Amino acid sequence: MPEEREAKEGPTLAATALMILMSLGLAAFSVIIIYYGIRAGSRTETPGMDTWFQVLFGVTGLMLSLKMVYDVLRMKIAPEEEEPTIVSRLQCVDCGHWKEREFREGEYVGLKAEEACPKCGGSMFVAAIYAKKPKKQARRPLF
Amino acid sequence: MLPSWLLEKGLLDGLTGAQAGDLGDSWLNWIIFMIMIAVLNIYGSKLQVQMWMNQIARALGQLQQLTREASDTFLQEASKFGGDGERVKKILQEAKGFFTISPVTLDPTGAIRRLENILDEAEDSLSRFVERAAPRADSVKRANLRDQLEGVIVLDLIFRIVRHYYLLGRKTQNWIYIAQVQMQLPEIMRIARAYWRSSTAFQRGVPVGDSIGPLVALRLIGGAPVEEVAKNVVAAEVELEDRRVIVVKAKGPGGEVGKPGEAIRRIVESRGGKVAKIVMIDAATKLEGEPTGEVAEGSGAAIGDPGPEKWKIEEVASQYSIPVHSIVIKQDLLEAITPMAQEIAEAVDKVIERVRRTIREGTKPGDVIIVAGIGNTVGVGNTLREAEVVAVA
Repeated sequence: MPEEREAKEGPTLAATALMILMSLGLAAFSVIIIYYGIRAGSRTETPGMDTWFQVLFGVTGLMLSLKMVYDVLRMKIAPEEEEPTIVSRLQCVDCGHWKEREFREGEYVGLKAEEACPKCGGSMFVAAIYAKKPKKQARRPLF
Repeated sequence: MLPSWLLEKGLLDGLTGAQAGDLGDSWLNWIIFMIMIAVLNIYGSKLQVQMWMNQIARALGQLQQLTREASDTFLQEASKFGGDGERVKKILQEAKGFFTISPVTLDPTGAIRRLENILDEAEDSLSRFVERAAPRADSVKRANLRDQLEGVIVLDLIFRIVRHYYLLGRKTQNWIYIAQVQMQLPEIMRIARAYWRSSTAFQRGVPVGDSIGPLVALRLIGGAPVEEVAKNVVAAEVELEDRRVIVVKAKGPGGEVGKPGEAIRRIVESRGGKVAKIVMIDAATKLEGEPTGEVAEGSGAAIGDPGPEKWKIEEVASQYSIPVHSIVIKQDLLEAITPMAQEIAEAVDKVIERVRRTIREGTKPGDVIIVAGIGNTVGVGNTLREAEVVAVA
């Protein structure tokens, strides 16, 4: 069924772990570069190009690693796309009272419903059939 | 901060320029820099194309999966109505790749009639496939199965086209082929998913977003008796705002769109052109940012057919100088062919209000007005007579 297949989409546990490890490695490397860039620059009165390049590379690497972690987490904990429920809206012929209940196979708009109106006991008909979205979307577990 | 052995062995000296503190002496920086420049210059575009090809390959896998699932849904459903599993599979294989050839427009005379002939034959051919696949299905189920089959054919076609450009790009190493598919992938996948989801709606016989026109028409018809006025189109006469309103819709509750243009032409001609106004209600594609279920109106025939039905309406309306007014309900492609969203269903009352106002404007009491609910009528019946509803609108 469609719902089952879609729920399986997203990165696997191994891919997630690998991505996080890679981004942590990049972050560590970037911190080292920044550290040594600043250290080299602090030895002279005017920091050289080397210092600026190293700090720039380091900051870029750090931002890249943060983006990688953010992307992976977003994919993993993004709310699951829940299938809407198909409901039938039944309306009373006499008093106009309406109620919703789950759609039953074979029903169509205009069909006389089996149930009687809970308010006046009159007959009801299917006034509309539509997809109702779930109110709150659940987040996926991270692992 | 760092393991001391790294520093002691001087492994980071080149990287950090720790000995000289100058870019010129930092040999490792230079090597990395030069390698990066060389790699990006020589292999940059190839790497990019390779990444695009990987994306297309993944999308192809998904497209194949969507096609297979839609096919399986059709097979399961057809098998319930007398179709033998293997036989249905064979029929489905024959139906896949079904095509229509557009008429010659170099000589435009009669092109619409020729197009209509081709479209009629295409519909009949698909109906025959369904008849063979599900011989015990009634007319309602058959119409739904035909719509399901159309979805499978479209999905299969999308898969074949994407695969064609992917393989062609790989064979010729021409990045233009790859780039154009990659750039359109999000839209291609959105369309594919819409068709894939639609198979469930037609399998269960649930109204889709496009059914809003027939749904409004049904509310206007209420319990009035209906009669078939053209192929798969029914009409009923009701009184609304002291006018005689002829409400037209496709014959439900199977997934039919019918020939509303033909029906409107027949009605107008049968009354010698004495029709004060034609009001059309249909679903319309919304622009991103517009809310689903928004109601808008304008002039002209709102009907999304390939041409013949719209042409008939325009022809007859211009022949008798009948104003054509349209009311549309906004939705995107996904919503138009998947189970009707609540926002769309709840727009019915607003549309009816607009229909009432449109009927009053520019017409006199006693005038004849045609109101046509255009769209696929899957899951929408023809009258509320069975439910003994006299007037809902």
